[in-house]
Amino acid sequence: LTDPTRIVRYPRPRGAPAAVADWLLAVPAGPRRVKPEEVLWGLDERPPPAILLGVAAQHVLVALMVSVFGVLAARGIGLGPRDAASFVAACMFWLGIGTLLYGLRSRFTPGILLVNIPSSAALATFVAVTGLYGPAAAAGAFVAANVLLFLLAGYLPRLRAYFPPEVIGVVVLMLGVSLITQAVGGSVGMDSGGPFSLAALAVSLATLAGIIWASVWGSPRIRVMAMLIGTVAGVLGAFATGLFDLAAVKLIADLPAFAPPLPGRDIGWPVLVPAAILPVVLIELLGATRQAANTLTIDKLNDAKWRRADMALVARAVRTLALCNLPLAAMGLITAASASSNVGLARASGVMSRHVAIVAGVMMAALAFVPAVSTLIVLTPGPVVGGILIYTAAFMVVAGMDLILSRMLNVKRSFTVGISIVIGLGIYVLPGLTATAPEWSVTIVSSGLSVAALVAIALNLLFRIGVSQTADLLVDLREAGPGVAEFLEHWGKAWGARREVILRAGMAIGEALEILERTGAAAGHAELLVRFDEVTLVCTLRYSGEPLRLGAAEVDVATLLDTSDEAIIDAQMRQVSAQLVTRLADRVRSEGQGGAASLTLQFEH
Amino acid sequence: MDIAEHTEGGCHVVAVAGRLDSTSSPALEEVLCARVLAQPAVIVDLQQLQYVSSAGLRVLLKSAKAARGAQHRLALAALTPQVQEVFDISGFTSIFQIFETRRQAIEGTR
Repeated sequence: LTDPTRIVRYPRPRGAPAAVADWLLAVPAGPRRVKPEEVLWGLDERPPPAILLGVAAQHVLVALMVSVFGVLAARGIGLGPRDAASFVAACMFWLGIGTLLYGLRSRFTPGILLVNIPSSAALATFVAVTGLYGPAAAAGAFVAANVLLFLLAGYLPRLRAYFPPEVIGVVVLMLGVSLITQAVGGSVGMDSGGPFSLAALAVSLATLAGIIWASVWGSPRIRVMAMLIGTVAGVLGAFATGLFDLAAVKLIADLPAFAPPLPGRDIGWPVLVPAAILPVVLIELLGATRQAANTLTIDKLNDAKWRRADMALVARAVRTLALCNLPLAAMGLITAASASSNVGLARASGVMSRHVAIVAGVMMAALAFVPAVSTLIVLTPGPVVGGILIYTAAFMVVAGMDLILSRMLNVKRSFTVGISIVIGLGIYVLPGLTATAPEWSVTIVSSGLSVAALVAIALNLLFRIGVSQTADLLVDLREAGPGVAEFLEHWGKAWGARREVILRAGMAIGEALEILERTGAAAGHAELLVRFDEVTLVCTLRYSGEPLRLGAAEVDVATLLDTSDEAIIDAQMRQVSAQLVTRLADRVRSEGQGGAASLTLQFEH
Repeated sequence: MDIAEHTEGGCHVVAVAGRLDSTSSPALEEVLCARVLAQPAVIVDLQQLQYVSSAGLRVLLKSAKAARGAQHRLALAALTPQVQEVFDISGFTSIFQIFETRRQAIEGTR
């Protein structure tokens, strides 16, 4: 009843490194994905070169526009304009390398379309730890945290029960909510403390209208350019309303055409300071939850029949993030996070190909050698970024709801979702709430996203206490149906099982019980034993009697319709029953000995 | 199982809700076989049907044969995904005219 591990092997390179390459490129195959109809190019499909380059360029554009956190980090640790530009350029190079790695599928990398940006979650901690303990201690803390993250990532597949879809859904939803301040503030010109601006609002609405028009009413060719169309509409609006800083553009002319993307300062060797490491480890672990949320959102968008979290994929995405963060941290740069806005772009464009990540990563790394680009990042009009972030926030909120509702909700799960969202939103609504928190904890408790994630994880753990993963029921064969359905419904909710799996199990068991009663294979009562472990739902019927023999012959529908011979109809209807049981379940085993028999039905979850 | 009947757009509609299994199927057999003989067009609305077993399928088959013998029309409407799966697996999808909604069934049957 167990699945053999399937291994996908890529063409083996020749020569001495062959064994190492073979080991690196051997990836256990994930679930078979069914491409949704709205997806134009799936994960492993390679779009034509023009589309590939066009979409990758849009991803780079979006990533650079939301890379303002890199600029804020540089300013936060007190770097001047020249050093800040070098800081951003060096970040961009390693973010590009990380993005490229996301696109490759190997033992350590996921092979999906994610794009790295400077981490907004790490920003406050990075600035605070650098200020308190110095740049070498900050570098040491982020290196240590990411080594730990890399090592822990391998255990994520075993932790699926602790990160069920409703917990990840809360994180995705709160990721959307966490963007609202920057999205709406930027859209009306209030992000940098200025007054409400109608011109900024107009520019933001033009950006948003461009994205919505292209992704809702555009042809496939237009859809892939949705974010670019929105950006162009917004930038034109910024020119028209005088919001584009033309004077600053002239500064670019004074910059050299090319320069190596090296950080603008020498921080020496990283130093390990325990007090600095603790908050950084917590922030980077929360970053891993966010990485899981973005990875699973991309995974779900790529599979019309998405069933459960592919935690092996999440583990590889987290490892890649940790790998990318190591050089960033060691050089005293802010660490990375995959960008939700690029997940939004993938959805709007319908291009999910991992090849886009590879091309976008190369583009980002190459652009890091052009100082004008990092300078231009700062010049993107705030309302244009605001419009893009409104679209992203809206999409993430709905994607989070979708994940939450992919499982059956009971009282416990409703509380897990509801309370964590309410407390997380409370932090945003009442920012003074955490004013008296200990200094070391401020960077965590002042983030509604972090608090909601921690509360959801904690409540899920709490509510798992005492919930048995097996249940049994004594069934009266003469009136079994409704009781079995209610029993499965009850435990399905307790376990958070998918509703369609529970319904299918109810259908198959109901049919099996009818066969037992009709054929006289069993009499009186049967015991139904159900076991659930997130991956499979196993239902075993134990009874006194003969083991069922379920034939594999197809039903002859034409004969059924034409004949009036009851014996032939009986025989054909027995085949209908057998077909229903064997095809509703994913695996069936019937056995018996000494007058005791059992029928085991396994359903993939 | 609950059975409700009404006339709509020139068709006789039999709405079946709940579970259609070996326990409840005799009640539907009694109603449906009589209606397909008496009415020229019958729609079985399955929107509220949560479960159907082979015993339920057999009743529907018997009704389809009775309707064919009387040269009357019988159509099914609004199957839930789990009931549709049972029809697909058993091959019964090819026996009946099946419509996505009751409205479409009425327009396609009268």
